[in-house]
Amino acid sequence: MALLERSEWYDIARATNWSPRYVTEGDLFPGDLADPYHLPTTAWEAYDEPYKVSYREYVKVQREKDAGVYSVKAALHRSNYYNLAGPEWMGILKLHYGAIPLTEYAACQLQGQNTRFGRAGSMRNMATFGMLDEMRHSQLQLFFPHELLARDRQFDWAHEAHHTKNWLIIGGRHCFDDVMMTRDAVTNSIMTSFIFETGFTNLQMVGLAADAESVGDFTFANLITSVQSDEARHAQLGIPLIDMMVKHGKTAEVQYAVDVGFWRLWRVFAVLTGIPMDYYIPLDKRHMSFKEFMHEWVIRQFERQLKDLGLERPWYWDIFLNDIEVHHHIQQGGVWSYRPTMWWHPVAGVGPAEREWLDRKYPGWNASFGHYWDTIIDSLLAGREDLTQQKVFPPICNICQIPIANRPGPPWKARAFQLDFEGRRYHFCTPVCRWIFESDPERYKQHESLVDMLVFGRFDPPTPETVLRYMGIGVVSEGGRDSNNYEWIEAYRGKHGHAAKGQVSPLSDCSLGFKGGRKLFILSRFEGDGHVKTVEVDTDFTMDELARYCAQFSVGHHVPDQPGRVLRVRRTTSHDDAPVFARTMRFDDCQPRQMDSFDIFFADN
Amino acid sequence: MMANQSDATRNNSVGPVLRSGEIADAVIQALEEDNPGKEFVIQDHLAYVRIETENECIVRRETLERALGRPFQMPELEVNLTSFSGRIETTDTTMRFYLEKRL
Amino acid sequence: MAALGILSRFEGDAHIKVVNVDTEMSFDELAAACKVHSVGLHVPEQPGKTLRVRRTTETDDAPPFPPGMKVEEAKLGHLDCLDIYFT
Repeated sequence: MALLERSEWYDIARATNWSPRYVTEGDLFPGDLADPYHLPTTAWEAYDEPYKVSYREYVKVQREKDAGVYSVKAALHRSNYYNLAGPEWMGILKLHYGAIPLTEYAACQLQGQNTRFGRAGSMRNMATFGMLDEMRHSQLQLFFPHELLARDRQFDWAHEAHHTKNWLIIGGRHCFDDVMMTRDAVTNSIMTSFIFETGFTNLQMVGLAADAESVGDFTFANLITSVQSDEARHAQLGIPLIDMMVKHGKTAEVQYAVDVGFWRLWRVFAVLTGIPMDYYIPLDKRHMSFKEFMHEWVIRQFERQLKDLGLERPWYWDIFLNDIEVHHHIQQGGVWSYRPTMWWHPVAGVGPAEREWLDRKYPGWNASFGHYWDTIIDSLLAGREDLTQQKVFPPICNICQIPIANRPGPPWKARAFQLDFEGRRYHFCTPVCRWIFESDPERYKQHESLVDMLVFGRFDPPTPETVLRYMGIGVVSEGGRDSNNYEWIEAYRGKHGHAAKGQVSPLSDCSLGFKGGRKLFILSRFEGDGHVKTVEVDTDFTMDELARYCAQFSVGHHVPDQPGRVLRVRRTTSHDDAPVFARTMRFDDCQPRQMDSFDIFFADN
Repeated sequence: MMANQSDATRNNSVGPVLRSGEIADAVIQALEEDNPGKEFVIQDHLAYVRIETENECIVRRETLERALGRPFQMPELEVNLTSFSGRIETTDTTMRFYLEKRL
Repeated sequence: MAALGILSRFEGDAHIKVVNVDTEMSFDELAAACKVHSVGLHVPEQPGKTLRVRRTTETDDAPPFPPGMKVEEAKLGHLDCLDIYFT
């Protein structure tokens, strides 16, 4: 028996609307879940999805896709790939699997909402397939890392990350709650189906696949491109809606949804995709820079489509273009500096050759980000790994939930954009995030960032350890450390243009404990040392103790020891001739003030 | 290539982005046959192949079957179609990529 | 004497940082308290230069607070943003 062609029965199969008799149309499709824009019924009747598929075809095609994905996995299962893959690639996998699989479940719920509240039968039909797609994506991307769990506990974040309050996960969740989970069927289709799935997922699922292929992880490349083939179809859900909105005089409303959704997704995806592409992929395997992928997928392809739909590029376009040059670079610095808060081992990725590449792809990188990394390299070369660990928190943007940061070094662009609203102070990374908040404060004002929580006294005790546990570090798995144990700095040893500075942290370890006096910063001018150092000391120290305490930051670092001799202390003067303090004198008795300078020098007795 | 990002949106390119392999090769062959006189730019990105031409292109089932040397249902193309530029229109026998407005 | 959280926007640093200070401190002391979280971490020392503090504005041109002035006298609000910069 010959089958009918799909086109001969498709229109009848998707016409599933009916006239409700027991409830009103408004009860069946409440505005805030279905369509707050009140598009006319005739408009909904004309909804025509451009990428058509029947259930029979869907099952057949999906079966074939899964067979492909699982067979490549099975074929390569016995290969030695993951034993040989460097820590950089494993870091990318951990980041990807922590961030993505449960976001796919969120997308599944979004499609569920559209399956129920889409006002056109054909939209509900498409969303049903979309819901099944997203379930597939979650399942695949939980199953694949599960195999890796036996070799590395950090892969547990694939399932656990979204059940934690890790700062980066909160960033993702806040974004997706906004664009996927708490909107109506029309707006979420614009923000998610249109912006997310035709714009940004291409970067992570197709762009990154090029790099995966290049490093030889064919299993992963095959998996994510297969996932994206589903997206390419169900992403089309949003386009007929935008056409309808524009046609019925709702252009301003669509434009607002695009402007909010685009920025929110950009801020998250720059971290998720930009950092791996420009810092984690080994240099000789890099296919293109993140900026070039952005150019290909988002600017050239996605923004072109905006024009075709009768929309404008977002009002903040210049800010966005600038952000492409900056945002992921400085978040890379932040992720590395706050590595204990991550669920993978962050890669620095700033060897001499990498920096040359970065400066070529992002002109001006060295003149700005170079200063930042030079400081870290100097500290590491000085043996002061402790100085490269951040001990204070940055403010976190009250919209994107990402630490507020910007271009370092001489350009010095870091700035918090603040807003006092109903008695509370909010902080934003950019004028765009502040604009999003101000455009709908009721929606956003309740949320507290991790730093708000710290400031509002929500952590007890308010220590970094409490916050780390709150974020799931040490609970799900250990946190991050430098991915290759600082071996990368060896390329700079003896060659680096800057002398090691050995700047001293007040929290540096010392066998000499604090004694319970006042804590005070002083400048330690240690004999023979090229650098004066800021040291936090205890006013109850004796002068001998003070000298020993300061010595730990100089002797062995920049000054050789002089065994058999003792250390003495005097105030710093222009002629090096101030009276020497008695060794047993209490430091407080010389009435030191914050940041006074003292000479510490060797003597025979 | 990166000279001016602001102007990058000014293009009229359309076409499929396919996973590399047999289907991608056949689609390229079919597109050239189905769209006579059009010039295609083919970019090989290892895991994916970007195929682009100006304004509009169409791929027909019949041509694709000839290129592959076997029967083929248009929905099967989805297995390898990871993305595309422009808009899409699907029928039983064709897949068309196009833009409404020219810039 | 009271604890006060401020936002430290330290010259050249990419990260804004939340720093707890004491309202009894002078602005010199406040600058020093902010310095330990930036210099040597993300910003190199600038020997021979001193640090000044001013309110963060859009145009980077607020007058600096007198170095000896007490933080308390400046009537800062909770999490006000301050520029700490070398001169």
